[in-house]
Amino acid sequence: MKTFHSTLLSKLVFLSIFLIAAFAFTGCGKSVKRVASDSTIDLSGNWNDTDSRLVAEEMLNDCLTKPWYQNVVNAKNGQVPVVVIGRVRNLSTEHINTSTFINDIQRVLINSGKVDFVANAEERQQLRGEIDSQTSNATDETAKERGQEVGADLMLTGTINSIVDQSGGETVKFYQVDLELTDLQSHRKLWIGNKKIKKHIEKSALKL
Amino acid sequence: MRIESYFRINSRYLWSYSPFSILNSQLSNEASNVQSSTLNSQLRTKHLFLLLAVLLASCASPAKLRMERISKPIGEGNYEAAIENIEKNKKKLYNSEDALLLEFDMGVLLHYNQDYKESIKHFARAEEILDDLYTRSVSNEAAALLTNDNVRPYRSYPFEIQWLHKIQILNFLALGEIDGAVVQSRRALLAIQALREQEKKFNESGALQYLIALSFEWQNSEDDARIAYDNAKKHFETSYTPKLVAQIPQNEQEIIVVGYAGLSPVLGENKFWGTYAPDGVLYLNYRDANGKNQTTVLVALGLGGPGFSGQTMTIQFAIPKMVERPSQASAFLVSVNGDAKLTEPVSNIKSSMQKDLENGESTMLLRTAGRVIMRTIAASKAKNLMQTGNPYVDLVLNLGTDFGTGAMEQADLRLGSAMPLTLQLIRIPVEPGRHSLKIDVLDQWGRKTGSFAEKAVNVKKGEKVFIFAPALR
Repeated sequence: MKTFHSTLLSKLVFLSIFLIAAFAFTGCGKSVKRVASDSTIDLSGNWNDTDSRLVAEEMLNDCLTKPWYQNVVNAKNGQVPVVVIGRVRNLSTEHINTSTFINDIQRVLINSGKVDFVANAEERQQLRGEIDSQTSNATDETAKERGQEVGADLMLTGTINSIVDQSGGETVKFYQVDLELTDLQSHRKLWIGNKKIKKHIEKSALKL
Repeated sequence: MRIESYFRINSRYLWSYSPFSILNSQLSNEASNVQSSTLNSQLRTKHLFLLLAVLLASCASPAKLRMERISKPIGEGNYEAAIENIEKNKKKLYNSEDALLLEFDMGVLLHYNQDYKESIKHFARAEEILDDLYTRSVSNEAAALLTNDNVRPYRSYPFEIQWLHKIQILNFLALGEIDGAVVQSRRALLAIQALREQEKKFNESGALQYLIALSFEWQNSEDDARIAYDNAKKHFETSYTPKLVAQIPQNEQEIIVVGYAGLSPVLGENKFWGTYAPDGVLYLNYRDANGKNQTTVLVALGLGGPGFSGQTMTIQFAIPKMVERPSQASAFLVSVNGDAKLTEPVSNIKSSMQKDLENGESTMLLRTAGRVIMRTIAASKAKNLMQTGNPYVDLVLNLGTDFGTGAMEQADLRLGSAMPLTLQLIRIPVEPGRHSLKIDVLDQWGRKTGSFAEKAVNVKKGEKVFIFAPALR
């Protein structure tokens, strides 16, 4: 027959063991393993590197196969168009680093070999500062001149929007990325593309 | 088998309104077997003290120490020293359960110190932690049942979550990152929506809606700005609607002074002590807000049970109460090119904290009272078990058990350590160009208690320049 005290003590001891074990399991330290940079890992459900890469690849590949491209090349007597990346505005509900998305866009466009690129407005300021510095510091043979820049034909701009619907532990996130290619001379819009991503995120109410 | 049994007891305790009868009935059924003790008393004592030591070690909170360490440099306006102090003594000042609080305090202090980029990082981490805390840890909740609420991860009060978004929006506005401020505003709207769902009586901040509106306005999102301004009018925490809501300068260049005035209230312990009599009647004594001892009688049926017939136990427990601090700063007198105007309070932590504490009081009281009664019953049983027959040893054991159970009971006093009493605002439309700005700190009687160094402010066409004036004293 079990006695009162033995049962109580057993419970207390088991509870303390359970708590210690639970703390131990929940705080098992850090582990790091290397993964391929193009692998898809979704942790929080937020916009991540995979979204940035896939959206850039899909949208720009679509962009370069549309009729505007041949029209511009013909108008330039067979020369590839020169593109400058304008602003990609983050109008979503997350603090997205748009510069990584812009880098992905540039990578896809450059690797396609179908367009030339010029530096954006911010980079141009930096480059002009360097040229100014060369004017007074570099030798005449090596110093670069002002006024020799290549003007862009087209500007790529865009927005990242999101709509979030949430209730309790469930969230549905809808992202829409819109990109536009505009002729800098005529301000005609040559191409408009968009890509939509929908994510369903569930959070558990309890854990050990 | 026994572990399963414990799970059952605790999980039922977690979700049931009348849980004590479950444990009680088990204990009382077993009480009849007390006399047939088989365990060695020394072993029993060792086990209990070991458990007590583990529990006591896990439940100490550094809330008071934290407040003592950083309130002095904050009062002197030396935010850098407060930040350094936290960085050097992180482990001493914050338990692992206080991760949210650490990020929150750092975010606030870095904001006062005008390091807006770093402040943004800390608040972003605080948001991530908050998101993760949606999932509750069963082990932490179980530990809290045995010790106190300090072993649960700090989840913050609704007013603090709203302050997090307020300061984060201001961080982006200070940097002139309008898109960032608007993103944060949208995140704030999502947080407000979640709080409306979670809280029975959600005390919504008009000031947060006002800052959201300001961000949308600067981005030229007129419809969103109008909706947020309308919401702000509905939800201002102060008893009046600030005049600045009715006078919104649209798309003009402005100097906007954001002041943080006074010292926010802190949390102190409201101690309850009393006796738990047979038949489930709880006689509770407590000290009211005026310092007078009061007595109340609560009917707690089902908590006694046959095993406790004829026994009266002493219990004590503590819940947090708001303690105000005297402030030397109540408003700011802002002079632009010699033209002086007073700031307006748009947010008052005292009133929002009071409402949040009231909203959570019944749940906290139920949880605390339940925990203490359960622990007191267990302690009473444990005392019976440990009786050695030697009156001196028994006295020491009884006192030790009472001390241990009493020491375990600590109110959860955790709260943001660097919060002001009020958020003050004034918007001054100006012409593009250079302006001279002077800010004086005033107390509640309008007397000057300090001032910020006069400086020149350059305002470009269409620009809104934010100037921050923290006076937490």
